[in-house]
Amino acid sequence: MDYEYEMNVNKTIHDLIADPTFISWVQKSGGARDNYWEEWAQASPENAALAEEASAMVRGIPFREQRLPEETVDAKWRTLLNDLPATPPPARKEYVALLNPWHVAAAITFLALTAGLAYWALRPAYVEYQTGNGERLEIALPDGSSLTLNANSHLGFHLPFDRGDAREVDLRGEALLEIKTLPDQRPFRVRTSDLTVEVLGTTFNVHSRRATSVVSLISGRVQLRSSRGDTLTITPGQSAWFDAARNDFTVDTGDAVSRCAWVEQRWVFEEPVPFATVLEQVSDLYGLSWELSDPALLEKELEGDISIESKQVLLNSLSLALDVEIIETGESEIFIKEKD
Amino acid sequence: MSQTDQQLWEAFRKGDQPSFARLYKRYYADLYFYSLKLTQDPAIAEDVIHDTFIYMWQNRKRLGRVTSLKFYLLRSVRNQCLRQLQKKQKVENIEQVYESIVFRVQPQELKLKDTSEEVRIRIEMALEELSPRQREIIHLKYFENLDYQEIAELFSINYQSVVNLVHRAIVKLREADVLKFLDNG
Repeated sequence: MDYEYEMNVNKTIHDLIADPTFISWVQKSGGARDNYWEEWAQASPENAALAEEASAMVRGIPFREQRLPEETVDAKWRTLLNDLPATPPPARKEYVALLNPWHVAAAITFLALTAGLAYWALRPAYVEYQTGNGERLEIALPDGSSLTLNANSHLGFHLPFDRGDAREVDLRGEALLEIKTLPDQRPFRVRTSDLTVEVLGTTFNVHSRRATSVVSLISGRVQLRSSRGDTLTITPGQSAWFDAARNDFTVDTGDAVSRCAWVEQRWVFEEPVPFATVLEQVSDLYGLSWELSDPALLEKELEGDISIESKQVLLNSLSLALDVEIIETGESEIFIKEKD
Repeated sequence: MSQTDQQLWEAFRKGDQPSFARLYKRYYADLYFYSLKLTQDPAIAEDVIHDTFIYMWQNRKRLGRVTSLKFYLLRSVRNQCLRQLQKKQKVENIEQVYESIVFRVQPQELKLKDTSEEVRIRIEMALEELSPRQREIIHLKYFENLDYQEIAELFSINYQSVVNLVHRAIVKLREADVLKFLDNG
């Protein structure tokens, strides 16, 4: 071993760049052979040149970072999304593999109804998408619009998409939609159990659970219509829903963006929100049922940003933020108690 | 906060589109700049990335695990670029395509201790002295941080050849007396 570190041994570039003691000397991390390399590099002009070259190879050629604006890359993604063939969801063992809906001539298939991502096409052609716990799906619509479907939600629409006087989809659950304005100005409608939301071209969120639909507008204009025929137009930044008890619309101004944060895997609570409300959202997202050691825990309040990247991250964030212990007692059951 | 490439890759293989989107956005810029240097054509560069990712999505169930996602993507993109260049140049032989690759690397892409016009010109001339392959290897090694073995695989040459090519490039830079201007911080 030591023979290699005598003065007169010929070294090649390969020897140097692979030698940890040489690398150590170059990086000035205080290695045992630093003196040796110091001497070796000065022993002859050839050594000096080789040392300089090998050092440059170890340190590297320093490149500046090169970036593209986020909006540019986002736009490229959208173009790609439009061109991705409408895809069946990942086949799970319990399900039969499914067909591409755009092949209208294809045979009919069906799928069993249980939790999980499923998709089926029925002739003449009503396309449906269903997400399960913790799942989100980005869907490109035939007119070039796109939407992100949140967990435990259902989207359906007829093909051909451009029949009739409007483009229509049916929604249960939650979705963030980005709707393209068509040259012929044909409106786009989202139908939920209690509302029809009509838009020309715009970005908005529809949250429709437990028979109430909350619509949050990011850009553009939407009109809400109740099953009774009452209408309301909202502007960007506003959220609105039809309050069946009061028999009228209610509008919330300024929180539209927070209501859409789920698309970026966050929940944003701009004002303190009771734990009970948060648990409802947890249930909507992951299908968890919960039990408390003490009902008073429901009164705890949560404020700020919470990451919902995964069930684990979410439960950890909640237990930290609320100072509680969350124990997973089953596949989809949690038990919440005060920290000891 | 960010998921690792492995996590995104596994989720993507199972058909999770948001993970696929994240992968796309994470690597888009690098792949675009690389394609652009290979093809000198922004339209082809964009098409290559587009086609590559469509292929990935359509075949996600058949793709295995990857040890280095960056390497997989760079290699896919490189192959696509060569195919597109071959179509554009209407040549029979892929060797002729290799010869047409310029792979320009410019002084403004580097971190320098001296940014005067004089030094930039010297560096530019020194870089011109390198072969396009040397410039491409330097880009892959020091900008993309691939290792020598990966680069060897990418070019179907052996590890020692890669080291020699880099070494000879560095020798040229040393002889042009520009190594001292590189700012390794």
